[in-house]
Amino acid sequence: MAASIRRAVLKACSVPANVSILCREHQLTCSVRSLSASQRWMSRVSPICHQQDSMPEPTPLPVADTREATLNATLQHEDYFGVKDLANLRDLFNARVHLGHNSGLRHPSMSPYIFGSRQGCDMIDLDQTLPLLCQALNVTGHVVYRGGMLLFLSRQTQVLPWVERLAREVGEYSHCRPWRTGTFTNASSLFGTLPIYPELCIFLGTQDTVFETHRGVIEASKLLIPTVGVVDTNCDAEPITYPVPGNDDSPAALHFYMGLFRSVVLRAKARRKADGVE
Amino acid sequence: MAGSRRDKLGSIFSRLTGLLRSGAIKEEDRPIWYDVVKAFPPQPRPPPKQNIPNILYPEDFVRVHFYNTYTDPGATKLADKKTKSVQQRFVDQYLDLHEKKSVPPDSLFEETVRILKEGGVRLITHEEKQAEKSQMKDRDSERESKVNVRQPERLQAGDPFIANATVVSSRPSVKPQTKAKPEVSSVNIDSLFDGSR
Repeated sequence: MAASIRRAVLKACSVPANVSILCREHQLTCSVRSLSASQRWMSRVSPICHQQDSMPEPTPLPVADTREATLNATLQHEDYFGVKDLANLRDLFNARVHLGHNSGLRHPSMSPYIFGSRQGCDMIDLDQTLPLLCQALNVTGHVVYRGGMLLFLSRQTQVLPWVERLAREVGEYSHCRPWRTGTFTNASSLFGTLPIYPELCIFLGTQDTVFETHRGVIEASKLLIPTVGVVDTNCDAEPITYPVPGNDDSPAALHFYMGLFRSVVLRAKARRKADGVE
Repeated sequence: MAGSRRDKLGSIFSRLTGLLRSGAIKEEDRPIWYDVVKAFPPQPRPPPKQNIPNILYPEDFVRVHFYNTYTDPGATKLADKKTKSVQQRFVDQYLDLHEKKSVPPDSLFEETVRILKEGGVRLITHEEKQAEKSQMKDRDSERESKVNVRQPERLQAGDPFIANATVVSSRPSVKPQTKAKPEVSSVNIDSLFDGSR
């Protein structure tokens, strides 16, 4: 008896952390065992979970009989989840979303989103960021509303506990650990099981290291998975389906994005329940 | 998923549309996101900008002029949004005078300095700071020479321990001088904010 329990425990422990993100049956996110004490503390005190959110009532949809008709009707709605109330220009500015990198690090694909260069440091044009951010949030909401799976990705260790906690709280998935090449493209042989792919990948930073793009961006593109990505002035915006130009380094900015995504996912899930499209 | 794994041609939407049109994927098997992306297509990318302008403000000129003439009046607390730094007060005063047009443009800077000094701000020019530094140096070298004169006498006693003891004991006499230093060298910031508190 004891031996069989021990075997079961060993088996559970030996499952690679990444498997859980691809199989719905497993734990939601990677385990928190490998976090340092300070990271666990940070995760506990992060105020993400304390935000109160009240969703505005949308204009009523036309009466639809079938599930399909309801889903189509929501797509006709301009802003079904009220994302335009979630953020304004002042919030973006206060969250330091406009701060880019040194001009020498500028990526050519980001040049149209740059407002100007202040003392050798690029400033992102928030007038362009705001509509792009709202569209990205809207798409996220609709994908969740239709029952799609989200995957939050980030490679910044500083906010790793926040991202994992966010994913756990909204009932979605996260991947913040080093990306093994083929996690998407060679999943069946890496994990020994048929994977379920996310419907939308949300990159809170599209860089893996300071020098290279996150491999997940390319693999998602290969497997026809749309991506939402916060792109800083040193990132390649080209392979991202819904780029959001903005600071991807400051914890204040990342915390801001996470709060928005959290709100929109929870709103979409509540709407999904209320409309009976589950 | 069916389809090529090329990731650079077209967009994911155009590639999936191709698969649907050719019949490789049936209409009912299309992924959840397809209708969403169709309804809210990504905005077209704007063409790349060739020249990124430098962001400059009119106050930059005043700041440069200020720092070229005066030394840095000390650290600024960024978290404190109620009290203004000396530099900010200077800039605000300058722009205020500039707007009123009561002062001829040539003497705007001098007038701003005069008003600030009347308000109790102590501004130190680079020359004054330099002179002060050299003064301090002279004083220090005088002191050193005094110490050097004393030391040989005591070293003559022949005991290395006593020699060490003299070096240690000579320190307290230096200290009162260094204590007096901050009064002379830095701006008295507290005096600026007495009125506001």
